[in-house]
Amino acid sequence: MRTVDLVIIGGGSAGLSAAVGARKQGVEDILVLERSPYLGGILRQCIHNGFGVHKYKEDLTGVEFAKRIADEARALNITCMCETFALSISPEKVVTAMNPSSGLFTIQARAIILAMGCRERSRGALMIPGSRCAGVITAGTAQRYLNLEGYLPGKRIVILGSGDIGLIMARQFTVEGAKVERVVEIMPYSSGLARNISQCIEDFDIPISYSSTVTQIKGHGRVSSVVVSKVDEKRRPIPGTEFEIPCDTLLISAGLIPENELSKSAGIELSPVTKGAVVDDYLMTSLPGVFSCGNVLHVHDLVDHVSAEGTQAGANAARYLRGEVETSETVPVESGFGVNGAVPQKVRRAGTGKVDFMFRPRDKFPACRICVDVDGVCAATYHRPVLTPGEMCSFSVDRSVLAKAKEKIAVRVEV
Amino acid sequence: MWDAIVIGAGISGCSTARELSRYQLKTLVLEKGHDVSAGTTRGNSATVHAGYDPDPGSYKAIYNVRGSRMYPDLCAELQVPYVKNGMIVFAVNEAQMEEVRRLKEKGDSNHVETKVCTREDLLEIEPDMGEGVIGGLWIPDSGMVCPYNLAIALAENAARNGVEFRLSTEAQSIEKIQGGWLVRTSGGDFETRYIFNCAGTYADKFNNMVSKDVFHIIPREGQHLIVDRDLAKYTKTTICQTPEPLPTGGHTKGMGLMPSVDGTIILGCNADDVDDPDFSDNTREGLDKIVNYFEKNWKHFPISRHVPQFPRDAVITAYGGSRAHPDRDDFILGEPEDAPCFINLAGIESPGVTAAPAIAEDMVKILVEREGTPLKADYKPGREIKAPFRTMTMEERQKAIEEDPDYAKIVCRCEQVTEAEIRDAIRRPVGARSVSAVKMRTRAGMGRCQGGFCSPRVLQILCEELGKEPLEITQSGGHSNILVDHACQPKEGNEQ
Amino acid sequence: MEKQLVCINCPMGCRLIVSMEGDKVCSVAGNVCKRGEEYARQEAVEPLRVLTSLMRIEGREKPFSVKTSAPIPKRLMFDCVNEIFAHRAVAPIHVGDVILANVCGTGCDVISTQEVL
Repeated sequence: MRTVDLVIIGGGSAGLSAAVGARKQGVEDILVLERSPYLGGILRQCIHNGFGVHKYKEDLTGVEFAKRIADEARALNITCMCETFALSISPEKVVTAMNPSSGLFTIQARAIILAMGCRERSRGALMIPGSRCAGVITAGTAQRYLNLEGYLPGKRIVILGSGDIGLIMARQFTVEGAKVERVVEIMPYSSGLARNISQCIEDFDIPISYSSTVTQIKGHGRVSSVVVSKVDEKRRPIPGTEFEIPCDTLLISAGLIPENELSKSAGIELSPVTKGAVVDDYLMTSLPGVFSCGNVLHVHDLVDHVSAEGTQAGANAARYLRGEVETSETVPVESGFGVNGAVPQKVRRAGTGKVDFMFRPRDKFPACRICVDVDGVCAATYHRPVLTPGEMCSFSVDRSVLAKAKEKIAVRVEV
Repeated sequence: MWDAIVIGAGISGCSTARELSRYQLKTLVLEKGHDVSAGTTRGNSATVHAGYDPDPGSYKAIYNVRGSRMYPDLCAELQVPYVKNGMIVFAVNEAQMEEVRRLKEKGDSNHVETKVCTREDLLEIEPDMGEGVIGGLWIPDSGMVCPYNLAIALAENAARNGVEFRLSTEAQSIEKIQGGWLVRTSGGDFETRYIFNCAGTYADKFNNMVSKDVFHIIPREGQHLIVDRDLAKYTKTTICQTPEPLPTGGHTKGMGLMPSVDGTIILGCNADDVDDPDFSDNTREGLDKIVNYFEKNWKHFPISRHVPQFPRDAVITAYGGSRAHPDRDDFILGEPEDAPCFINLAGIESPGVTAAPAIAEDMVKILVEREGTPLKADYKPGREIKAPFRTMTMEERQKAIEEDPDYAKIVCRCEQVTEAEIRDAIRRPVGARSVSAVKMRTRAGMGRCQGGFCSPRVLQILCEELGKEPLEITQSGGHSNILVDHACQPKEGNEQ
Repeated sequence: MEKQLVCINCPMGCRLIVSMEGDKVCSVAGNVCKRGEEYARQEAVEPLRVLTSLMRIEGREKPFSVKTSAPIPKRLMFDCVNEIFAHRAVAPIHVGDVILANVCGTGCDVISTQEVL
């Protein structure tokens, strides 16, 4: 069996950034496994701009960002195997994969970075009642049909959920001459970025209904209309508030779920909140030497953040391979008031520098503070002019603050 | 003139077609759907019932028991997964235990092995049996199958033995002619000596065209949820709660948890009369009924030892199907007195999937015994098909990839379906012509992402194999096109 | 005259009130930082957007992606879209290639964001 120092599963923005990060930290023997025939992952179908503002200080389209990061990896002679599907990872870090030219093969990895990305929540998972006709499609799938295949999957569209992909697609459908009838969001606020609400929805006078959901899909063969209802504070439809919208497509943009089937095969501990691996401040999972980054760890809003996390995972994998990452004692991190799914979920006592935290606010909090409690005592605070569920919150804490923790660290919002 | 026309290609029609294909007969199957198994057969509980609960002496009892005993060989012959996993019908109170003992008596009359169990007995069979269960009935011969998979296999085998299938062809009327029948369809007229009425929820329509002995089918919808395969490892046995009587009289089988042969879990079902014979919608009421039942009663089920709460997040989809409930209490079989050579397989509601192979045998016997039809000498009972990639051993996978590198290309990542299997599903007899037909044959798109990632690629492969344009490909025939236009069309009046 | 805008520069979403006299901005209120004022001054007078789109390629089945080299006036967006859709690019195409110069007289070019060999 072939041995490789670092195997990276996934050749999207997280995986390629991790590869570049590891190479820059001196890892020679890197292998990236990518299941599709191309590098770049989901960015290949993102023709809109708004990428790279942090990483490259430029406003790039997703396609350009993907090419740039793939070019960086190529320039560093990183080996990438495309059309290669990883079937499983064993707890001993043996990766089983296959592709048409090499068939089925196994690799003994010394370290692994998980960068498989995420999938979209489907109609089935949302249990939307009604006809099982054609024309119900997730926003990302629609984006692929349009941008990679050149076909419109609908012309009269209702969008369920105000996730960013749905908003971006609302604009692009409008540019393509299709009519977006309405965006329907179950929460009282948007789950997308403010910029996207403004430039994808308001620019085109697309109506948006908050605290509402689709309660029925109608149509024979193809969707002919959907029924929209208001929901109460427990998100249950309110009878009598229904109205029907004629349309040929229901586009679903109602959340992303990390794709951790491979992580499960390795027995890696997953968080029920983020649906990603439980990691420490090195982004290392419960399996020593296996790291996780990008949307497979937790769903991000910005590719720039995915890329930064990938770079960090790559650098940490390099440290692990040099024997600089001990399996040392950790302290658990809890998500307190207003905080959903803080990552990392545990922090090492030993070490230097800063620890980066990320979480998704549970609600909109104007003018608030993020508090870091160490063993129940507030040890650091960070002011924020506003927090919204649509945008991931990130902050860095000096390890010296955290090193004193004996039992637990908690992150919470104070209004 | 055809010797036999089968109307409807569900489990009854496909079983009949395959049975007819053993004989020297010219047989045609007419199906209004875009695929075989497009109706009731695709939307039920996938259970091969042992036959403990139909009324003794009824057609349901006779054919259920006989059908159930045919399943192991039939499925082996056609390479269709079948598991005899046993069923526990549990009771949580003394009234339900009373019902359990009544079921036991029925089982005895039907000569089906059952055992009335105490809680301790149940724990020996299912060590994780949940809280509150005081006892129940153990039915060791209960099994699971994938009904549409079986129907497709039966159709493929029938086609392999010379039966012709016309899909998307709706039988519209039947007239008596000299020496047989004239069937007018959306795809032309056909003359035949015999008709097998396997039209499911439409069977009453055809019977009532030819016979004064009229009956009516009341479509009765059942809905189910599918839970992701991760959780199936905790549960092997089918577990149902003792049924409660229906307000309309009679009873249905209780809510149950069925571990499917494909490694997922099926939960269901409700039973509600509907107007539309094609009704397969999921309704808010139906879904709520299932979710509410399992949220409330999850603790009784063995899986709750491992997953304490009903795993709402692990539900990957829901489906529905209308069962052909007749206004008589039993299956309606054979020739009406005033319509010889018109053979009903009607009112085939539960346990129809189990009973179908046995019913088909007897119904075909009416023709071949009367006509003295000889068997085909070159009849081939099996199928030429590889096991799914996901169930292959590593050695089998390696060999498959060596023979066809398309086996190394995963198209559906959730269910690990390869490009080779998708191409094969299109090329096979009665092959897939739509995205949904590919899904039914291969499971591509049936996993947790529900086709989000793979459907564009499946669509491409359908185009390549069938020589079609993407705009022509449908989800499930008719007007269910997936794509509606080319991008980048300059438009008149394209303005804000 | 007053115009109300929501700032898009950060999650704050400041509600901006722009006082106008004819086509000229007199003052901006409601912003907490300078970026808000800059945004409001431009947005109130002539909103600008980068346009991204697909374009067809002569003799190819699949389109490729393009963008405007700089933000263009929002009011010209659909005119530009029509010009883009009416055009057929010729492969090979490299990232940054100018496909349509000075689209709709905006002074901006339509450039490729994708490599097509």
